[in-house]
Amino acid sequence: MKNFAFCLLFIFSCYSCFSQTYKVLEDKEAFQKLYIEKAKNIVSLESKFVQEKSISFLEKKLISEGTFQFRKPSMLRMEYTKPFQYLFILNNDRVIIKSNSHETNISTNSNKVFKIISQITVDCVSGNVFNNKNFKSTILENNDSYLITLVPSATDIKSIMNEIKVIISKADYTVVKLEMVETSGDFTILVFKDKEINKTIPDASFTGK
Amino acid sequence: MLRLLASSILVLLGFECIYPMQFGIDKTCLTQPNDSTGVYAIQYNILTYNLTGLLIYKKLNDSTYRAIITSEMGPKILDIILYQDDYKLNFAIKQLKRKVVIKSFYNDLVSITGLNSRHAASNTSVTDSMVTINYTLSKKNNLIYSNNLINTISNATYIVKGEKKFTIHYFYGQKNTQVDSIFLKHWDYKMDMELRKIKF
Repeated sequence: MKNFAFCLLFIFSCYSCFSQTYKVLEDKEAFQKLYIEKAKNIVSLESKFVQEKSISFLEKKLISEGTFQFRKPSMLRMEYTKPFQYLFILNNDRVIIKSNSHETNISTNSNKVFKIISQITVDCVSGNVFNNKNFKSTILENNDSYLITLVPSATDIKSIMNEIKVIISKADYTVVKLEMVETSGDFTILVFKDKEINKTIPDASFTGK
Repeated sequence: MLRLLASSILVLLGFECIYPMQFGIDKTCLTQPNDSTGVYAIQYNILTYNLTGLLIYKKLNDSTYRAIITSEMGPKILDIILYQDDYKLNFAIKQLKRKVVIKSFYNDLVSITGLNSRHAASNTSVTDSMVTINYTLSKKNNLIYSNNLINTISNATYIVKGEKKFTIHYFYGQKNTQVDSIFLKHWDYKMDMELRKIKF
């Protein structure tokens, strides 16, 4: 029952995020400037996340949750806790993965998918999203948030993804939601909640120890 | 009596409902909608390439499955339709899009699910502690399932021209009714795959 209520809340929050009418942002440059400025003040970010994976041939969506941590310049930790244990750490150009009893330590260059996703996530949090030359961006806004749509221009990314939608809160200029739409139409949504900005996150979080 | 005991245990085992069908024992459970899909965490290592993600399979009909591997955080890595003796590749990321890799994936997945031996000729031998079923897939290829009745571990070995190509170990959950995890290892090149069941 608790899970059902949680799913309903999650679906409702996703719906409300996209249901508010977005309009074209008039001064894109001013927003970019402000966004970069605000992001400069974010040294670290910790939040909970809920992920919804939608695959066309599955009747139900795959919903998982966990904890997200980010620390500048490019350290990222995503720890999935439900319904399975999985730890993903990006520490500059290294990726550490802990799944069950396995630990894998690889270079981001050895796995393109990891590289794309982790780079986008880091870019979104650190304000570099507009500097990523692999994507073309458009920006819309409503009363509460900005909707940045990133369309890949690089061929290798185009073969994986159609677009990435990022919703940025107007209150604190952090990412509220990230949606990755694949070429097949399947998509993955990440919703971030209970955010704590500039909380001290120890080095150990990004070493997998 | 021994055969009955062996059959009863085999009904309890299996990769969801696919593996028991190998033994021609229980086909009724395949009609239950809950058993037509499955999700596994996958760890796949081939040469220097490491991949983790989710393996999701769905039964499309009695002789066709669709399997996709997706990264935990985002997009699909592989999307393949498995037939008994062939496959159709819907999508693969550039790093995996090589015939030898896809063919290997196909062979691994159809052997794990038992799809390739569904209609193959078989020879069963039963001892006090072991049931072994040898499937002849072609003139040169055999797939041998063995089920240890004492410690409830099942194995499958894929053999080409008498040479062991890969082995699959099936591990069961606490109730011993369903496969909890699977480990596959190739012997002719550096490749292994671990699957662990996830309930969403």
